[in-house]
Amino acid sequence: MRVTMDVNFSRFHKKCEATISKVARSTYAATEEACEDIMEESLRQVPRDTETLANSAFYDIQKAKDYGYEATLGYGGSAINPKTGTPVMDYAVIVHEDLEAIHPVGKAKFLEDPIRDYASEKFSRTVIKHVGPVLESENNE
Amino acid sequence: MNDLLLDLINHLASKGIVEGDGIDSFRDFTPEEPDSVFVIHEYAGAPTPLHDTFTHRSLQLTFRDKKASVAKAKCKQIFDELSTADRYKVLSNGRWCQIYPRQSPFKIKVDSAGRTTYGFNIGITTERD
Repeated sequence: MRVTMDVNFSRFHKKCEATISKVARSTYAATEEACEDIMEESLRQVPRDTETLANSAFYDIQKAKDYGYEATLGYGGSAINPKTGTPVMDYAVIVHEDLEAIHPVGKAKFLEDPIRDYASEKFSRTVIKHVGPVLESENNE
Repeated sequence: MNDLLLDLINHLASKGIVEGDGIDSFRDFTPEEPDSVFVIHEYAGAPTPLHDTFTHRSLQLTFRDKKASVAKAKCKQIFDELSTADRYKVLSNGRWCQIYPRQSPFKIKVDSAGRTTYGFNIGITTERD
């Protein structure tokens, strides 16, 4: 007796590709939410005097090389601090990394700390929130 | 087991990279003198579960000198000593560590006395103090 099974790999591959593509698209929303949350917390921690540094906060979401999206978050640019005449890009790193500077408002590591906290506590939940429903709907098809 | 920061300074001293704690190496503060100093700062690490034997901590290692080239070279020397390819490091007193450099050495600042500080940040998983 022989048992045989026909598998249509072409259809299987197409289904996989379609699912990967849908998941990749849903990661945009997850990436955007992560950026918003991190920047919100970062702006609570950034040292503020003239607001030049805080106003230079940005994030930029790009398509990743393979699937999905990646983001760059930061502070910088050519805006000039009115007190010192220095562009933000020339002092943002110092303010971020100088752990001994005393700031009446805010603190050093105002971007790194929120990113680390988010990565360890919230990021997986954000991904599940956005990608989970997509996988669920694929599973039900 | 001593304080981690002291263990790291003692390890680097045993390799002849720095002189020693309180001489040219300091923990969590940078003195005005001497000009040439190595400083380790600890900043926010991961919360430690109550019964875990290991902790994950964040450190910033900096080297300041009158000459930017010296600060850079010393910082690179410290970086090379602590960042092994497999991340695994046993310090001179036997403390076990896994060290993850978060970037290579970079220029942090030039102070009002013209001294340049280079530094880098690491994540370090190690035994509790």
